[in-house]
Amino acid sequence: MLSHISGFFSIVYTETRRLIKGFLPTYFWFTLLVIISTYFVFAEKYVDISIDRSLMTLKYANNPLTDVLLYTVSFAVTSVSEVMSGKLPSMVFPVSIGVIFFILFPFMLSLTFMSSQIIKKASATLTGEDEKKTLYIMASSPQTRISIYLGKFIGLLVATIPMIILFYLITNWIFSTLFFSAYSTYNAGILVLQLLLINAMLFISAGMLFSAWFKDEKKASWTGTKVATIFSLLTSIWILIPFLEFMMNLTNSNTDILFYLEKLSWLSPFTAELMSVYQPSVFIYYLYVLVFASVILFLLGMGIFIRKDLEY
Amino acid sequence: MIVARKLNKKYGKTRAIIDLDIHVKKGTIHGLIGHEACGKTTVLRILSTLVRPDSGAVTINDIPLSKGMQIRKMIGFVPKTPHLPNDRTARELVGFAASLHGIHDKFIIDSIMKQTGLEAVADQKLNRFSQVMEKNVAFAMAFVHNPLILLLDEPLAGLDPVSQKRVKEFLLASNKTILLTGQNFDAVDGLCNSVTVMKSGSGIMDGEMASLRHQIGKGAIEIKLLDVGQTQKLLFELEKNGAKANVSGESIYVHYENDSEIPGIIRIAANAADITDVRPVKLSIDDIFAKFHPAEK
Repeated sequence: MLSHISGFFSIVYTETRRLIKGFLPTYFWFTLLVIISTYFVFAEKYVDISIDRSLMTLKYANNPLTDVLLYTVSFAVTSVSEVMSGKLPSMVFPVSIGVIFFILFPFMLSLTFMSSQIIKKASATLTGEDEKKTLYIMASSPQTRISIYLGKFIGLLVATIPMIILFYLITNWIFSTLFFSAYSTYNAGILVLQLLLINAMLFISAGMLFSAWFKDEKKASWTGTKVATIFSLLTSIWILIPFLEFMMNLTNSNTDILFYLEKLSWLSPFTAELMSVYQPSVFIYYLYVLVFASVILFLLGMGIFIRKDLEY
Repeated sequence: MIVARKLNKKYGKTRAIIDLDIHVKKGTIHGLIGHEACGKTTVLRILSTLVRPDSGAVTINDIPLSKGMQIRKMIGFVPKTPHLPNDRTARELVGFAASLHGIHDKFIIDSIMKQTGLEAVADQKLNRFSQVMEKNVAFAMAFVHNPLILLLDEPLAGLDPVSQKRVKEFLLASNKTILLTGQNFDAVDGLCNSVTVMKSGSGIMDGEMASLRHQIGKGAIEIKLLDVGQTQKLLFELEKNGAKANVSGESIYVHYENDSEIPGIIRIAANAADITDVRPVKLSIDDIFAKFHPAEK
């Protein structure tokens, strides 16, 4: 039993080392992306002002982006007199809008970038070895297929930790310096840390499922990245819903389609993750869904891998 | 001891193994002989639990194949062409293989590196290795946990003569139960105690090497002459005495039905011409196919 456990840790260590090496360019680009997108948030001015919600009523767009729209309209209305008198209105954002900027730029970009990189690597983890015919080394050892699958899963999760920690630090920094006055009791760092960890688990599980299912590495990676792209597109729809509704209301168009679009956008885990950061009360319900989905995908992938005939 | 009964395996619509029976006695070397794609490798894949059989009963040292972990503890497996990660050193790979078995003793790893002739290149990455050296790494990885059973897919294929000799000596001295594959009898000559001859997924015959030769019931002697000008005279003398002979290149092949005919053939040949070399022609897999599947030859 002890030898089996030490063998399992050997798989985890080897996989982690290999994956961290493979992830090095991703770490670089991720850091660059986070720094650039965070700079955008820091480049604005935020003060504690409330948004006038009475300016308009939107039926479907009950998401944070409505606030952006309301603020924009509110800003346009209140600054009309300044503009008419030839003055340049000064742009000062309420802190809640700053949080949405954070959600839209550093968080959304990091989430989609990280997820697509994770799913791409996870999709290639078994198919890659299957294609290179190196999987026999582990598969013909006393280690079980469960140990191999779990070892690779943990290896992938550990390899994503540097990105998650970086983003956790950035979040803490933003919320303790920029938005501290309005969000002093809101532990955004921990929330983001939990979300990113569960999100990583979900995408690793999904990627490894593709990796166990497909025989071809390219096909598995392609499918993985396409899934991440589709999720990003669905979340983009969610972001656009208030703007679409506003435009449709202005033109007296029927907005029923937005009801379906909003439901469709909820299929993407990114949508709920963005919502959770804005409204932490949503997070706890969504947490169960994410964990459940990750476990199901993990078990499905493992089941396929256990039954898979291996070449060498 | 390896016992397989009525083993079957399909890949899609292709039947890779059909009702195959194998029996390898403890401490013996058994060869699976057959042409390319006859199912030899699939048998090894099944025994090493990489592939599941569709039906049939397999036990290794009385443990059923379903107890995969226990089976894999006992086996050492070497593929025909080992595909190893070439960004790792030989020592790292052998160490990794050992760690999968819970072995972390540096002495064991160093010792197996020495036995497989990898000592001098142990810390070099595999991308600098030749195919022969890679195969030696695969041997070291398979032998590091001192397995009771060795499953070797064409172990001598691609090896240089020195490595072939070392592997042969190692296998003969190992006193382990070994199942190896080969495309012809040359590959297992002097190595196997018994063989199973396979064709299109089925075992067409099996038994000990000596009894196999006996069952085939024919043999040939290759004779080489000092002066090829004496060939016709020798052929004439052999035919006069009822022996069947034919010429191929500079060699004369004399066929016989029974071992007792050999001294007479050599005597006739020695009287008729100046002989430089006489050697028995090795048993060919085609002889077996001709004997058991004459229509398909």
